[in-house]
Amino acid sequence: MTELLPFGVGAWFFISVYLCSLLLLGWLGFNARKEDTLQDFYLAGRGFGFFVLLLTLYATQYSGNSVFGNSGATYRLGFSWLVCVHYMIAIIVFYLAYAPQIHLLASKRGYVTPADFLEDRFASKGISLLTSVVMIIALSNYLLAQLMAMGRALQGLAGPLGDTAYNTGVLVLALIMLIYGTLGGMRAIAWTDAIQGCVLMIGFLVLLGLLWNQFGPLVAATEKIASSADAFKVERPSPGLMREWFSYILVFGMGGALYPQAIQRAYAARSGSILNKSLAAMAFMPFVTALIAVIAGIYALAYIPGLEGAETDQVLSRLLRVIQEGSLLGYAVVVVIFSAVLAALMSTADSAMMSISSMFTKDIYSIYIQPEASNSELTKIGKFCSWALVSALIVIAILLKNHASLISLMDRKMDLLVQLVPAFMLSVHMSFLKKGPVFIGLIAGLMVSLCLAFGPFDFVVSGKVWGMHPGLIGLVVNITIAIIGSLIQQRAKFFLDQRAS
Amino acid sequence: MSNQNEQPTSKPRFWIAGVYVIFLAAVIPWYWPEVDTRYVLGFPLWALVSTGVSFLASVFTAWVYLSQPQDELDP
Repeated sequence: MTELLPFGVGAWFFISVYLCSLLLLGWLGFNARKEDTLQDFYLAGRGFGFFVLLLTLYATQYSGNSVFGNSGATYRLGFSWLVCVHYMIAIIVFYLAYAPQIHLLASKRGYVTPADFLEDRFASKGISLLTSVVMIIALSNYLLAQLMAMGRALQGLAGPLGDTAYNTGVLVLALIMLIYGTLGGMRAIAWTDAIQGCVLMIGFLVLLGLLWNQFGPLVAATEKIASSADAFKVERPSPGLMREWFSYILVFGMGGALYPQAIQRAYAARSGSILNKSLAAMAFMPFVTALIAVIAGIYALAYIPGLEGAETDQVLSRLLRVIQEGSLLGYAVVVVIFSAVLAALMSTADSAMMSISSMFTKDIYSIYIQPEASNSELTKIGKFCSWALVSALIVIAILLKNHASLISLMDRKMDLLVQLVPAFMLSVHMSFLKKGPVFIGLIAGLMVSLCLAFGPFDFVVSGKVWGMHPGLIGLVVNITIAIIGSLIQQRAKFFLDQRAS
Repeated sequence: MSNQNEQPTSKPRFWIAGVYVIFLAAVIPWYWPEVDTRYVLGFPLWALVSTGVSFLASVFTAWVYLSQPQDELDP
């Protein structure tokens, strides 16, 4: 393969300094620990202030997909992929449905994992365990995708040594992430997220300026597309695509708001007002991130036409290559943008790793395997879990190097996560929801989603039913069972109580 | 930990959900003509309107977060 972004010694020196700074923050986080407890390790002692919370939310929410995936999807679909801006805002809107309430409860009752809230709300081992398992499966897939994207990012720099660079990229970047994550816990992760968030934001803003400088105003690019064979990509989405918009906004909005690392950041805020201020600022972040990725995709469509299939996910690298060759300043700025891409990948991956580790340790190990374990032992188990999990995923990422389609096949995480809406979002508002119907609804929703996604049905086209994600259909079944079942149970209890008295 | 009967529940503001339903209906350009060649700031007009509605949704969301009563936020 050809080198997409050939870098010199200076560029590698800059990237190495950036990566070493992450290790330094891990060591500082280790020294700043206050006690050897799960709360301190996984929630940084619930002490996040406004800027750290905002930047850690930002760096965690915007992954490698925000950079490569959105520009690639825009290249394939045109302006119709503006839906990514809408669903990133929807995540913050759905967060509104439960984050402030769950933060309040967490600060009173000392929650560490998402299942702690469910155990408190429903007192049901079934709901708590199933929720943790669903979240661990969804996040493991997400973490694997980030590790593979780390390898791909380095692969694009290495020319004929691409395969070696992929393996080295996965191994080295995952190792750095493991070291700072297990040394300093959530405190180190949040501090590195703060740096990564800054690099990411600067990278996106600079990218917009560079595109304008290199290719001219956006209107020229749009008019060029409109006069080409891709003219349909500037037209209003077709009715089928608009149904998909509806589904994307709801499923990605709700599913994204239910990522366990997002829930744990709500726990870790120093106060409710700090959480709300951070989320208020987050409502505007899609305009300096996802929207810029869409604009980059439009420039690529206009000025680098003719790419197909997997090549379309490399459009950003190709744009950067053109910019890099233009001037020394362009070269320097592309190095910063490449660092921002690494930042996006690592900040999302480290948060997923910490969440999985906390859920395994607190929700499974300390309840079903070693209930007598002390906080100090559990923290050690959590660190061991991170190393074991990431080591296994590194091997899988290397084995699946040439089989990315297998990852997309497994990529039903949003369909799974969205089934947790009744347990988290509805239960803080509907005090009548009972554990039995919520548990049955959750199982039914998961089964409907998975059967529709993987079953041999003619009416399922490209993984969707009439443009709707299977998860959305499963959620309708799930919510219906949870609400109607709870109302019937409440009514039955009322009649039984009356008869008894 | 306590059981479910002791859970505090929030005071829902249903009109807020109604506003978001309107935003959802407006952000999807079903009401726009299929063929329209007007461009503003490099965006097709339908895309600019849709993005503008999204921006209004962001402003509204920020306002809702910042206007939440203090007693609902901190113990």
